Amino acid sequence: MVVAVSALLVASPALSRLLVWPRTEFFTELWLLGPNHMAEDYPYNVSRDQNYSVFLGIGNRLGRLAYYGIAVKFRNQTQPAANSFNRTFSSLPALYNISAFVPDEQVLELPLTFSLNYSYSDALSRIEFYSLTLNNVLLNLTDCTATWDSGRNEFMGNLFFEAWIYNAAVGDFQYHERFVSLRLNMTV
Amino acid sequence: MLRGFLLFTVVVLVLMLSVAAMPVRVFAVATADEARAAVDGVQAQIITCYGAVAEVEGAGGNVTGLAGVLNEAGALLSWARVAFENGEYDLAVEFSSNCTGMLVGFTDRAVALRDSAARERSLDFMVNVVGSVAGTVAVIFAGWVLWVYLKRKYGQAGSAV
Repeated sequence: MVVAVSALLVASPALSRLLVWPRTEFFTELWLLGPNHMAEDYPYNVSRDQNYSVFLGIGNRLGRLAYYGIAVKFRNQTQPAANSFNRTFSSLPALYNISAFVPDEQVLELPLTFSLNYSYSDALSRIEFYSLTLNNVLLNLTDCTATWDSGRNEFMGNLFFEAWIYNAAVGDFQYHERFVSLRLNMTV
Repeated sequence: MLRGFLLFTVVVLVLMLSVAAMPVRVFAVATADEARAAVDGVQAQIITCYGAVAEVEGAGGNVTGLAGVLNEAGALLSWARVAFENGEYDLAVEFSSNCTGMLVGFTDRAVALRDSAARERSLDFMVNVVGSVAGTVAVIFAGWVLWVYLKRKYGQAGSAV
């Protein structure tokens, strides 16, 4: 009995290597938190040139260091969105690309501050966007407009973040089938 | 006639001297092609560095610090891309060169860290796996020897009784 217990004790370092439950699920977490680091108080009613803060989080559970490219996109209610059911990305061009290197089992959280510059056109009854400022980087939005959505009572703008991942075998970024978004109402 | 010629000569001389005395400013104006090459070069450099860090991780090394440097370099690359898209080619080249400067010696550090991690891993394997298995065999063998010894001693004593 004493010998068996002693043998087990001595063997425990080697056993701890062998008796490890293998990881079977490899995935990436992507989330947005509000300004208080909680899943609440997300900006919705936005004013022109007013700063708003959110936190974008990326959790790597892929079993290896990952090189993510987060494509920042903005759309109105008629432009194509990313689709979580079909797992497709939006065909809109990225306004900005955030590079993120996240080691396995680690999390990277990026504070984002954004503001929108737009005006309301009385003649056309629509919002005309000029620019999005994201972390002090000015991004051009001049081709984007938003019309009044009477069903939802809003001038809708959708700021969303698509996760892309670098595939070394292909030598390019591939859509990682996940995105997070902020639905915004432009107040006049 | 002669007066007119002299006047003309003086005016020309004054103009030439004025031009020569003007401060000359040299602008380093990057073209779109140069800016694109700079941005693409930085992207390729970052991918090379990413590969080096992945090797460190594969060897069991801690890559948190190296990933942090890559994240900073990635931010500069993003700014360089935006500057390029906005037609600010000088700025795009400047961000790209800053990024390149940040990554000088990066792969050498990664290789050193990878080799160090590989050595530590080898030592760890020797101690925790080989040492542990050898220790277990030794404990079992010592137990068997003790058992044989005790059996002989008390078995003989028992038969003598």
